Amino acid sequence: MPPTREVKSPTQAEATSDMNHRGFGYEWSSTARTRSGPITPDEMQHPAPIGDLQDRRDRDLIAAIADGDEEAFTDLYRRYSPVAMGLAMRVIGQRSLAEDVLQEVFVTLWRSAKGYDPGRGRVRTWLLTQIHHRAVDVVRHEEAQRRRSVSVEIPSDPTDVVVEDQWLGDRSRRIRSGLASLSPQHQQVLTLAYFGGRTQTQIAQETGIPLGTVKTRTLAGMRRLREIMEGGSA
Amino acid sequence: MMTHDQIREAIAAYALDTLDPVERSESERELLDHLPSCDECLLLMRDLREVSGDLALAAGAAPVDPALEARILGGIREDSTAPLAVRRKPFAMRAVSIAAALALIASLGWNATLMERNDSNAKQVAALTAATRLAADPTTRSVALRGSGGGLVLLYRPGGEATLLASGIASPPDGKVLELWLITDGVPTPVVTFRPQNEIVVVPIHLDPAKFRGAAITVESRFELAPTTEPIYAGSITA
Repeated sequence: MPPTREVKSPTQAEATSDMNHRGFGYEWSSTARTRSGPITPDEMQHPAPIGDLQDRRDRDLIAAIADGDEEAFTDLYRRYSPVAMGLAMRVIGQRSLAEDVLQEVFVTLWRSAKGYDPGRGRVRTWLLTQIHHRAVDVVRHEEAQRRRSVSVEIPSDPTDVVVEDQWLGDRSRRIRSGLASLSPQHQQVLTLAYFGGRTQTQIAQETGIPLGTVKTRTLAGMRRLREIMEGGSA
Repeated sequence: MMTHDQIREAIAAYALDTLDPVERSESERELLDHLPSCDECLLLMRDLREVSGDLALAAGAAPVDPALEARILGGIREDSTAPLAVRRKPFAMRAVSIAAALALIASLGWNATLMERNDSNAKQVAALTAATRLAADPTTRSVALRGSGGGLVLLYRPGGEATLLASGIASPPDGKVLELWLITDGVPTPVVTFRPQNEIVVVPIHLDPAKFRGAAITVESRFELAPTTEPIYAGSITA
């Protein structure tokens, strides 16, 4: 029988295969692996950026949630619901809709905690990305009915809410001052996009900035923010 | 075909969730094509997603009504007592967005691309070694995946290693691959695509089959996130 070495090119095919091995599943659904405990060599080689204690704690909570631990779920909920609510309110501007978004995302987290793969990024990032994504969906849906105006101001620090978590509070101040240090042009596109839930075409239409410029400014602004957050210079 | 600069701009827009619906699917397809072969862009994607997560914190915290916590906790309790069968859609009914794949690829980052460059021989040897170790372990369990043209065996240690093994398995038609799925609650999770080599299959699995109820193999054109064809081999995993 002739040898049938079928793998076409050792690059793409092997890459796909390797990615698959790492648990290519539905995003946060079904049943990939979970774990807690010490960092594995794989994780060291594959750094979850800045392995701070917060992230470890979140991962441990997720592992417990995957086992059906309601207390762990409540912990995680209490830790992140104020910032999740802040974000949802900021994007949607209406409390009952914002609460619906939180409910949907947190319940999804409960159901899909088993599928969490630490190699796939921070729990916090996943959670807040989902909140943002759902909130933007809500806004775009509402938007179809009525246009609303969005301020391009950087959200001010709400003084009436104490973020229980010192670390989250610090990080929040840092990103806010990082955002404030960007050029007004960069701030404008990032704020309209992220907090306004605008698409790039909408931003171009509303501001009169050419679409190509909106795109380059978005990239430049994000990169600058990344430098600031990484460098700790904010 | 996007230029490299356009790809980078699309990554930023993607991370911020500001891609236009019209452009979205095309941009995502381009990203899917490009990212697995470009370390620089993978890293950018990963970084900018983290920036997007940080931006969320810029909104500041807002007070949360304690009633919401009660509502959500009530929701998850109800969820855990509801019969699974009525909650889930059947096999092959749930599609996954390209966006989900992208998010995953982005987070896989370095490993996937670094490993692709190395020879597949060393990997074959490693796979065989792992399979042998597994086969020799008394705690190892096995699942038979049966089909018209013979069958495959999934060896696994709950919470540990797993390998898909077979011999005498025919290759799928040119340009097609076999894809392994692990299924629970009616939801197939894509695991790996492979082609038999000399009719032999030794494929390490990096998911724990013990957490699933069934395994199936379909013929696909490429790595799919949801099956596009009916299984040609299948078997149940018993606890």
